[in-house]
Amino acid sequence: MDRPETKRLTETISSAANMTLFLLFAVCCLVMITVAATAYGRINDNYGSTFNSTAAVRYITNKIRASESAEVLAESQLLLENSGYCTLIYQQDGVVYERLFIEDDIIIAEGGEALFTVEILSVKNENGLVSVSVTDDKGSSFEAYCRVSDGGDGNA
Amino acid sequence: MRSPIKVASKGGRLNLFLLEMIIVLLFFSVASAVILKAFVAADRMSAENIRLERMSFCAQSAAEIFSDTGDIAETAEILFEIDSERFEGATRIDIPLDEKCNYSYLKDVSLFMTMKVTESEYEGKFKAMNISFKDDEGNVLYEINTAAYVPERTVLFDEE
Repeated sequence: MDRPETKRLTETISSAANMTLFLLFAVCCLVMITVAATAYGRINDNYGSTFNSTAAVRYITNKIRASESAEVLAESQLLLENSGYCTLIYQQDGVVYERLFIEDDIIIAEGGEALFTVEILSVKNENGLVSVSVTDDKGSSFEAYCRVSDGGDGNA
Repeated sequence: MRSPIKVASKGGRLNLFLLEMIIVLLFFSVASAVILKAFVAADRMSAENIRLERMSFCAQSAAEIFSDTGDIAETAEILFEIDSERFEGATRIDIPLDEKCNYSYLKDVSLFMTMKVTESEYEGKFKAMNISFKDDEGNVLYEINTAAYVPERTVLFDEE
């Protein structure tokens, strides 16, 4: 027959072991949730940021290909001309805008329709090749070159 | 005060609560291993997706430049600012790139872009090019084919 002291000690050790296991379980749960949440957040952020930047570059390059002539007005302003109308794509306060103008309208980079949220939009004309570069708020950038039939100076 | 947890009974029988906790922990360990693996895989796929997007833009840009110049050395110069004289007359160029598809000659090289003229007709006015991206082990990650027709400039009027 067990002595009362031994019984009490067994009881205490058993309770402590159970509690430790339960604590370990709780800590593991917490770590797991934190890791999963961080990973999910990072994946989601990367996806959103990449999608925004790549969509902006693809949209602009496709617009250039679809236009009759393209003219780089400023580092973040691109004028795409077609018969009867022209499109101005510009960036202001971290947003890429697009605005349509009827031929012979005064071109102003205001009142356009917001398209994408990007930190920097850079458009350059390099000997007939228009380089479109988009940088997101995390500093990650995507660049694509696009050939324009008129040489990129607006003279078709 | 007695513990509310039922302790081992006489005769050395197993504590059921302890046993349950051990089983739960084991189950949790297996589940967490599976979930962590899934998250790591998702993270890697996300990074790979971004890298593929970069490769796609790089290949697209190379194809656009090549269709304008008809020369792979010039394409490499415009795209990566590599001196075209190094590749004068070459029909194949292998360019080491880093994760962001920038030209690199350091240890961070993880990709190789190959531009290869596969066909040349009409006295070199028409050229077909294959652009491929390979990893360190030579596995093809991305590949496109393009062509350029660059006719000689025709004098339409007497400049004199």
